Amino acid sequence: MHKSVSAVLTAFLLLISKPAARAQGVNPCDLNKDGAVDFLDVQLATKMALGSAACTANVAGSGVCNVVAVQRVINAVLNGTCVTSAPHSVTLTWTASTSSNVIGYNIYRGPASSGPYTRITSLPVAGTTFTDNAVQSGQTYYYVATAVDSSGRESAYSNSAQAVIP
Amino acid sequence: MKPVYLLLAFSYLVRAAFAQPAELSLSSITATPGASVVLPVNLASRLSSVSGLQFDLQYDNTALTLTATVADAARGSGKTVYFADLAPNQRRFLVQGLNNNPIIDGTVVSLFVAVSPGASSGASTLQFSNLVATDPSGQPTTLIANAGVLTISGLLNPGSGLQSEGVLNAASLFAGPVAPGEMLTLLGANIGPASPQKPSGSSTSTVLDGTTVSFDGTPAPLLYAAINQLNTIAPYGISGKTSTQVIVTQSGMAVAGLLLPVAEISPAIFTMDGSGVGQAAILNQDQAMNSPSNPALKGSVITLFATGAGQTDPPGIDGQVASASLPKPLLPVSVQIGGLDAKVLYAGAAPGLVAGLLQVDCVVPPASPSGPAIPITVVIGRASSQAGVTLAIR
Repeated sequence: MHKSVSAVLTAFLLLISKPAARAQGVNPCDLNKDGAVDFLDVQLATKMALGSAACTANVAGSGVCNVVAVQRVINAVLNGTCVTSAPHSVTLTWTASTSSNVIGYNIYRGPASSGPYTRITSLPVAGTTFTDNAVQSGQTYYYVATAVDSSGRESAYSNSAQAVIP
Repeated sequence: MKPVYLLLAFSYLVRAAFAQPAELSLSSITATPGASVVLPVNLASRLSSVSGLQFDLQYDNTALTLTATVADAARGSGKTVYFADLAPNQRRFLVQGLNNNPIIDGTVVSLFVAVSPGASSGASTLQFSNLVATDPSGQPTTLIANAGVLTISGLLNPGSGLQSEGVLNAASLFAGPVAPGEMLTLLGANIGPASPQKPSGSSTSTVLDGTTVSFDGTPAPLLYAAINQLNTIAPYGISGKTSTQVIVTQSGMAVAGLLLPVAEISPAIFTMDGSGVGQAAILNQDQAMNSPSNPALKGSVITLFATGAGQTDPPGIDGQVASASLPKPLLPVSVQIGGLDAKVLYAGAAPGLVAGLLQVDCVVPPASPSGPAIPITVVIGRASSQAGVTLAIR
């Protein structure tokens, strides 16, 4: 079995641009644009996350309609503040393993290059790119990858890649 | 000693930032063709704080049919479950509530899986994808998952289409003992007609497209019948018993049978979305639906609807629509709103609606708190309705 992912893991910090500036007085959590941020907006955000309504929200990034956006609308209903900062993300790319029988790659994240590393992918990633959307500002993360074969065996860790989140 | 304190503080910060990710998992179980099984979706948050989560579940829709209810861990955190089909074999689930409470560890969703009678033997994987979780502040947090495997094995077992876990209070969606006059939702496999049926020209019928449900031989009123779900009302005749034999028939043939415990009462409040959690189905004093967008005024009268109130005076008549005579529960009924006692003006049958549905008119306490989700409970005798039900108060 492969001894390592035959790749140099390269991490790119992808800073998602902030939501576009909006006209003054328009609350981005007012999804139905009825002039109030209320339960109806929570319902609409939920439908958008479920794919039952067109995704027009821009509170967790443009075109991002998921449970994070719903929580932000809920928080806006509860405390009056609509947080819209687009979450940062880290996109990792790597060169495919040359070993045969590789079905994908597991991605691990840790606080230091020496680890400890925790797997952050549920299933082996079939391609050679992965985006970690669950990163926090002010943190530094280290990533490694392993190749996985059809028997579920994993290679050793690749080299690590560092990502500093502003 | 000072450096030690600093070291501990640093250690804590690193631990918090690099906590093990929250994890969802499904059990792996074995079922026979035609069986109904319950698969819990469990959350282990570890050191993460998860206030909402979503996931897609892919499954073999030619062999399995899924229905889901919110489970204890999510319910106890004030969350409910929403789902929608993205494709015939892919369903998206969203677990969230009108709050930012962290979800406690445990079962967040109960999956009721109906195995097709014609399902082939073998392993059927229920695979997670598109996992997203949020912390209370609305920041994404890592969520991973372990798939479940449902192994279909053995011969068709016609009697396994209904389990006691699938006999739910229609308002709370809790499984448990059944009470006289309690509205019930039965979730199972192949327990009803192929196409959904409702009574025509009346509120209930004891037969819907050849499907019946009986309790100790007494036909129960049916409100809805579909292949994997029956909505019925426990006959008042089970009052005073400790158990009851439930039998589901189709065209005269028994397709499922269960011995269920009987309780005197099993109160639960109906909710707006039918999940048993969150906004209650309540009418404000002006008869408009209560909601966070239309809160009730303090001191005003509201009307809520519940079931599981037990035997009534005069005794309940199965399937009867309340009109001139409005039976009232034998046991006292009280209501608490925001932890305060609410004055009950009326508690009895809902005029124009079928026996088993309890209507309660009460006054919102003038000292009650304001907010979009104020807790409300109904207490009948010594039993309280389910937690996590709310109304909006201005």
